[in-house]
Amino acid sequence: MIADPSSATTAVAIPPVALTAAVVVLAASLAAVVIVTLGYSLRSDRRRRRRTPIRADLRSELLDRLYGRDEPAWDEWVATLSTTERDELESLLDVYLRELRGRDADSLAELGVALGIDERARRDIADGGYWERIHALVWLALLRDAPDRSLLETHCRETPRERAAAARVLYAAETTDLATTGIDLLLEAEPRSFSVFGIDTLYRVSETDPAPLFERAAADFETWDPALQQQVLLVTRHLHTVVGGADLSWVIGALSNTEPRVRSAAWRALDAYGWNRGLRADIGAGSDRIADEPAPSVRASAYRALGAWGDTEAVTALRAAAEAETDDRARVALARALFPHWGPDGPDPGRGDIPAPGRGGPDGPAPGRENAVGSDGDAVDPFDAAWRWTSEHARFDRLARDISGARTRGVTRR
Amino acid sequence: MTALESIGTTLVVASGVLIVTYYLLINAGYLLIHVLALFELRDNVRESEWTPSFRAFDSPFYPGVAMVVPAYNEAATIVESVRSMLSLNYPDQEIVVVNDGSTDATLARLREAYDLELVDAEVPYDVPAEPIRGVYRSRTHEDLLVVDKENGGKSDALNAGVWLTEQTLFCAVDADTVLDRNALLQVVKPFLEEPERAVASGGTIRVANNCVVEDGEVQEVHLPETGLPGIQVMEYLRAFYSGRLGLARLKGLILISGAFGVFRTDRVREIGGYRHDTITEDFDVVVRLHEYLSDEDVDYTVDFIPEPVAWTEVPDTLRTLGRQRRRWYRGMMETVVASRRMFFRRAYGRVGTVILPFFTAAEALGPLIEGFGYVLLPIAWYLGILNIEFFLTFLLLTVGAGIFLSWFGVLSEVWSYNRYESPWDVLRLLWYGVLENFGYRQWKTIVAWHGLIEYLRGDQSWGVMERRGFGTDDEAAPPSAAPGATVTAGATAATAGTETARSAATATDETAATDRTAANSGFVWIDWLTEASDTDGLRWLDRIATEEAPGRFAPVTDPTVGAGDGGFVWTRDFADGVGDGGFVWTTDPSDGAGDGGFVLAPDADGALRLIETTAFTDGVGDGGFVWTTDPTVGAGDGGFVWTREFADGAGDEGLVWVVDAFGDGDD
Repeated sequence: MIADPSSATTAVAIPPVALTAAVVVLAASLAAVVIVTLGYSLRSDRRRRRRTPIRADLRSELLDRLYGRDEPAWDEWVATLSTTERDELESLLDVYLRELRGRDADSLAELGVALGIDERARRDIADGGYWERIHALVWLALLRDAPDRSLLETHCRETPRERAAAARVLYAAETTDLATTGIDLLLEAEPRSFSVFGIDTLYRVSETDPAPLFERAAADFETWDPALQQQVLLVTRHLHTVVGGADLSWVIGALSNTEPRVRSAAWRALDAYGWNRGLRADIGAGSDRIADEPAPSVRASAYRALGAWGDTEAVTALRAAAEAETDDRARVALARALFPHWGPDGPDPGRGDIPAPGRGGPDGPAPGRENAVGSDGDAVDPFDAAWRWTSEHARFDRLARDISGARTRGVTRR
Repeated sequence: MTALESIGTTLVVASGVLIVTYYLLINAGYLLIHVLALFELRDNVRESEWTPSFRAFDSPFYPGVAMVVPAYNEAATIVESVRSMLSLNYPDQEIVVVNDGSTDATLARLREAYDLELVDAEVPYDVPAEPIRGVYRSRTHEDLLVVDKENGGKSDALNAGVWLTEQTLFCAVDADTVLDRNALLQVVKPFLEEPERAVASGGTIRVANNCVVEDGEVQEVHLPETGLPGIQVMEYLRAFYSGRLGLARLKGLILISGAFGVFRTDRVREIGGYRHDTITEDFDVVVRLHEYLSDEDVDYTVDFIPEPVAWTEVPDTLRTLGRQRRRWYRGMMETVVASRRMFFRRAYGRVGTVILPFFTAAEALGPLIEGFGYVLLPIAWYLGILNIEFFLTFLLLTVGAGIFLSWFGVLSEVWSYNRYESPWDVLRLLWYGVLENFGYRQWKTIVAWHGLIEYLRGDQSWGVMERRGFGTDDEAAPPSAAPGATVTAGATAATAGTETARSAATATDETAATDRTAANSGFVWIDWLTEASDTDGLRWLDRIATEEAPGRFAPVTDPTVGAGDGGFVWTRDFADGVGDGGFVWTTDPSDGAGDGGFVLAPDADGALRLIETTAFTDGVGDGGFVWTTDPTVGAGDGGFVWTREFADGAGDEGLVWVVDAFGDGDD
């Protein structure tokens, strides 16, 4: 036994009062947590048991009215529903409005009006907090019901998400002057970048009329954040069918941007514009730009663009690049770009594709093109390896997409 | 009191004070994290309830995702797993299955099920992984790629998948994890909201034991029927709904589960991919992402989304669980030590200044200190050095606070996504939160000390096991009271087919690799044999032989008594057991398939060990057991088949392997 232990215990004694208080606090906290937890669980369970059959009945009735009758008579039906039933019906409406289009969606939109969703949404935009506004904007877009422009411009400009959602409402409702107002909303305060929802909205809005976007880009592109520049270029890529005679000089200018990702996005944007001779003339010989490009990812994007253009000048530039490319992934991108033009058999001397890439000149292969050793120990030209890889994968892509072949094999496709 | 006694008393008192103070501070930290988690959960619930009015499948701007699925000896479940992943709801996805040198029929099953054909071309990239034997494409499924490579472990397999995909994002997922159908759509949300900044996103891992899994999806959620998996459900809830959310709120999420996490492909390549020399590669890769992106002064986010769920089965035996936890502890120590330069450095933001130090103090040191406290404080009280109030305070801070924090995790789940709909299940969960702190928690402190000793010893045995397989045994379950530790999905045989899957299978005990065997002992027959289905007996014996723990075969009626959950029964019909073959006793090692087998060999002190050999003169009676499909090959007209049902054979007893000495700590 330790002599005089009391000195030690006295020095570190925990006051019983403190300990008792701690026990009481802990017990009270535990009791509170248990009560709240079980309370929530019981409430949720009761709600679910009550609502599950209601939802099933409502779904059945909704579909019957939508497809089984000439007139759905939504107003009459809604008038007979309880608060709980209306709540569940609203939830069902959300699901179906996201799935259906055309007349079915129009009919369901009328149900939304019968439920008073449109009016409530307008009130929420005017008087509600952030989450009320955001949900209201989604409802108005689903119902394709645009409120007064002033309501949106007054209450839905605080955050990029609200602005995108407001622009989406205008798009869904096919309002006049959609493009101008939509672009103003989306690019207000020059956001750093968009969410995917924002990018998609920018695309949809600009698809109706790309002029406002291109005019804004032509004026302000250089001042934007690189992330925003990249995203706008991404959208531009998908607008090639509606661009008309819009000024795209800023896209060409982006080919010289200091950020590799912006240069890459610029090349990706241009791959759909090979038909534009004026643009092509402004770009000049792609091979010069590519040869001077230090970033492999940018070169890969350039190869994709040249491959998409596919004319003699572009393929010649690709062939020249094939002799000099040193990066593995860029090389594969190059092979993919050349594949549609050379086919699975590779370069054809009779077609003027010689000298075949990778063979090198009298001084041997170019730096970085020194032959690797394959699994069989033989030297493998790097471009040949990329070509073979590309060719094989293209073969499998064709096989997998060949529905007639799948039927013959008796295979069930996903 | 002598001087020595005085010093001793002072040390004891100081230690006691230190322990209590430590736990006061740590629990204050946990409480803060848990409270912050509630706020984060509230925001997450709000976010999840808002769905923008555009269709994912109509938009050309959704990022593509590659599901990278490392697979080792997953023949039983791989086809269904791939099928369920192919049917995930997502606009642009690719499945990259990496067969990591499986010794069973994993690749063969895939080839047959998906009409795979070898790509007749070398991989044109330098891939930081073990040699790739071949790449396969499906003739029918355009978005399926199968990579067949030499065995290198999970990290190695992940790297192969990461380097061979062209998708913007990749999702690391275990082969036997069951994903909710919309899980991918949900887990990529951070990349949709902030496509420029998001680099990693993780979802929740939940326990699939006793859940109904049909057609690759969890159809019914139930709590496990037994206590050990039930306690782990509690741990998972606390780890994800409190720990991860709290860390995410602090912008310091350092863990994304390896069973279900999405990453930017280019960023992971930039840091060199997954490290091969760590067990907890998921923990390590996120910490290294933090380190790298902070060094590069990149504005980034690492996010946690509680709603998307990946389901996995957890161990239901202490032995298997203990092995996992020791392995997890060692991996955690490795990563903490490797990232030590980040500690207390402002350049790494909150991750460096607060999160990593707190995590180390709580998760790495916490169990050690607690274990020490369980020993020291009662002794000190008994010796009269410390009063009983001191010990009660310690218990209050550990057990009491532990229960509170566990219940907090349950509250978070019930209040938010409420997957356990039955109030009775919730009550059981609360009970597990209590049960966890009486016995289980204390057991984990022993496991932590054991893990620390193995880490300090540089124990390589688990490294070898890790190279064997990672599909089930290597995945760590979540930690005890600690939030935010690694959850790398303790998955066992969660079948994803049309069969319902209930309860954890102990396939962990049977996923023995034979690569080492084949390479080191010349047993080429093992590679050939494991092309056959259900060679459980062979793998079972091989595992015991590899451990080389002294023991004996004992006749018992309960198949779970010995190593694993089965044993051998004698029969004349080899179809009685699992698989189509069995073991016969013979003096000629070439009688069976291959050129060797297993013998019982006595060592110097007479203890018997089971060893693999081509020389049967080493064994007792100059003979041994060979594997064969012909029961008449050996002495007699029958042999031993491996089974979990001892009624399969003659009589009602079977032979299980009983280890005589204390092997790896939890036998």
